[in-house]
Amino acid sequence: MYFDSGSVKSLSVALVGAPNSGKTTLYNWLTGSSFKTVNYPGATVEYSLGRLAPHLRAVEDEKLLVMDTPGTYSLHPKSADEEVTLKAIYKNPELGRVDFIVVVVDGTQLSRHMQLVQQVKETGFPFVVAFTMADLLRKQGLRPSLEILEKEFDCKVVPFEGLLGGGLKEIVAALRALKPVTQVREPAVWNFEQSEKKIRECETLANRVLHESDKDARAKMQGLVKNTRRLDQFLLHPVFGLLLFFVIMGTLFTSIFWAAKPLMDLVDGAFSAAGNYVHALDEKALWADFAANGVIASFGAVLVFVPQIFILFLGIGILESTGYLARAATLIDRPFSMLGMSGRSFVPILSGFACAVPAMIATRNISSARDRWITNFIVPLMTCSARLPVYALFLAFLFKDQPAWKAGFAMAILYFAAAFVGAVAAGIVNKFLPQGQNAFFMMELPLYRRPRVRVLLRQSLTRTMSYVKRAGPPIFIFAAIMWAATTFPHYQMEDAQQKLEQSYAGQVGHLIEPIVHPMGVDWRVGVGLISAFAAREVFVSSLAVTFNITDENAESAQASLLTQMATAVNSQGEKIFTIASVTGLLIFFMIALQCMSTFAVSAREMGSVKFALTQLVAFNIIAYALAIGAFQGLKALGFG
Amino acid sequence: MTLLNYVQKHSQAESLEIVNFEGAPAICERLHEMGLHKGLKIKLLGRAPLKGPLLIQFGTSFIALRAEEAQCTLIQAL
Repeated sequence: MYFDSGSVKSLSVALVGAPNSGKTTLYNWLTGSSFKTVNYPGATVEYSLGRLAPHLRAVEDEKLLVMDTPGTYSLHPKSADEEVTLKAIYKNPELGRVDFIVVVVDGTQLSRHMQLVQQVKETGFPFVVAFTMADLLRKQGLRPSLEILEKEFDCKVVPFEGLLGGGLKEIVAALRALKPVTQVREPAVWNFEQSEKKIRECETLANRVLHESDKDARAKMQGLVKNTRRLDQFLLHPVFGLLLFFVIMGTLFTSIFWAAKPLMDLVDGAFSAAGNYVHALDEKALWADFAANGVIASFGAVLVFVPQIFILFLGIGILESTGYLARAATLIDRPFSMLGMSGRSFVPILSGFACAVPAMIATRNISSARDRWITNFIVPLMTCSARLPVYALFLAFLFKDQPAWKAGFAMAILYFAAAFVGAVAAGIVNKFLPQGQNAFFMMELPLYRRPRVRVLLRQSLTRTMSYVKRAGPPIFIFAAIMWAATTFPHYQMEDAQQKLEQSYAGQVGHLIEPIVHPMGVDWRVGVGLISAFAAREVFVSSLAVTFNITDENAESAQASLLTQMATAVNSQGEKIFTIASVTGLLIFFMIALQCMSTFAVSAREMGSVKFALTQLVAFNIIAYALAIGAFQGLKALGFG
Repeated sequence: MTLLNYVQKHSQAESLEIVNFEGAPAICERLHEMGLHKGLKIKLLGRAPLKGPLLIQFGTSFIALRAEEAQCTLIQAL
């Protein structure tokens, strides 16, 4: 046993397996709650690293590190995800080369997943096979003869049940029995004939494992697919399938808003209350102002979206673990492929309606670099929730004293328009981008199964935390800079409006007035547009400051702001907020890329600052030009 | 005939056999990795809307293939 005598040398094991093989479930069981997510440097995909859960350790300081890798069908990578799996095993920045591998094999897909076992065996890594979905097979009355596999691959094969964690201790014991080796080989590339031969070998072997002690195995295996076939007749039906797709996605999409609303209000309320409390400690002191309006307010700006992001991840997690997500991607693949993307782009695009940051992270499992490029490019055009407060204010202004459905209808149009603009942008980029390689779609549609609530919650929480860590710092830093820019140099000034006008931000606002003038607005909106670079929704609060709204209550503050907007005039005495200018501003917000965290994540995800800069410049210039066009056009038509 | 040609004439089939693969090596390699091989018997379950991906089943596996991937798969009806 390697861990005897309280050895403190730490050993590492990588879990490798096909997508949906139950790898992450095993990982969760093995590490308990002690793990972190690591971003592979130079690449864009994350893997998770954790220590063996305390209750599984033989001695308290047993240091076995467990790594979860992105799903892969083979050790010959064909996507960014698969590339990372290979690198994480051989040239891991934290571990060097890993010591052992657990090949996770889905027992219901044995013959297909065994190719990976063959490849791992060829490399010479000491390994154990975790045979997952053992519970599903047992339910069908199947008793696979795993000893045949053990003999064939000369390794331990342990059945594992995801639901209750059965087999966990045996897997750990099997790992302890392994001895690290000094040398391993690079994975061999099989030519066509070799690969044909290997697959047949796998098939024969799988048949022996399942049929050796059971003559009715074939019929029992068919029992496994009965439900899936029955469900797919509806869910993949050319007509009902599409209808159900829209119902399911519509439900997910609307729940991002209604289910998150109470929590968001809670977060918002808590931060406002904390801010007011701190500010009241010493109203005149700069520190209190900084703590309240700089620190607390910007933390609030980051955290207010957390409930939405969590619900989004949870919803996607449910669809993913039940097996529906792969079907959704299949249903939508054709329309997306006409725009140079694929069905795999669907989840990122949908996520973009909540926030572009997790959406861009979600593009990682798009195998084609070209599809991924286009998807990442248009994600910021989707109507993220930070745009909502801005839209709400402008629509309340445009449809003041009119039936509520009109504003609601206009909001729906804004959403569809954003999707349309995204489609046009994708279509244009698709025309000009050179054709890439490896643009395959080919997707496994997993058997439908019931999701595991605990794993789902934990996974959604991890992904949400990853979002906070990534989007938090840029939003926070930019919000702090904006606080300083709107506070100094005359921080002691009593009159908030004057203070802002003469602040650095106000000075810049005046400086850029000639730029915003063609949009029909003055320096005050200019300041708002600059501050929106911290986070779009800051535009509303910044407008409230520039128009000197002092109401504590949020609803009366909005009413006062609307009244002020209705009467506001520029230095020439012309009304600032008219149908023409507000429509122009709406178009500007719909297209402009103002979010600095999106910019940062985009540069990181694509490994290219040039890509992110192109997005930033292109979207902002187009937004600006269209806003001017809309304003001037509507003004000429008499809506000015 | 290719699987794509077949689906253009018949929307479903209970029993087809893969006889070979041709075309882009990366696609053929991935088809292998997904478990498809010469002599494999597959079922054609249908096609996603708007001439989208083809849905095939073999054993307990369900796979969706795009037109260009189905084009690489040569089959015969049994």
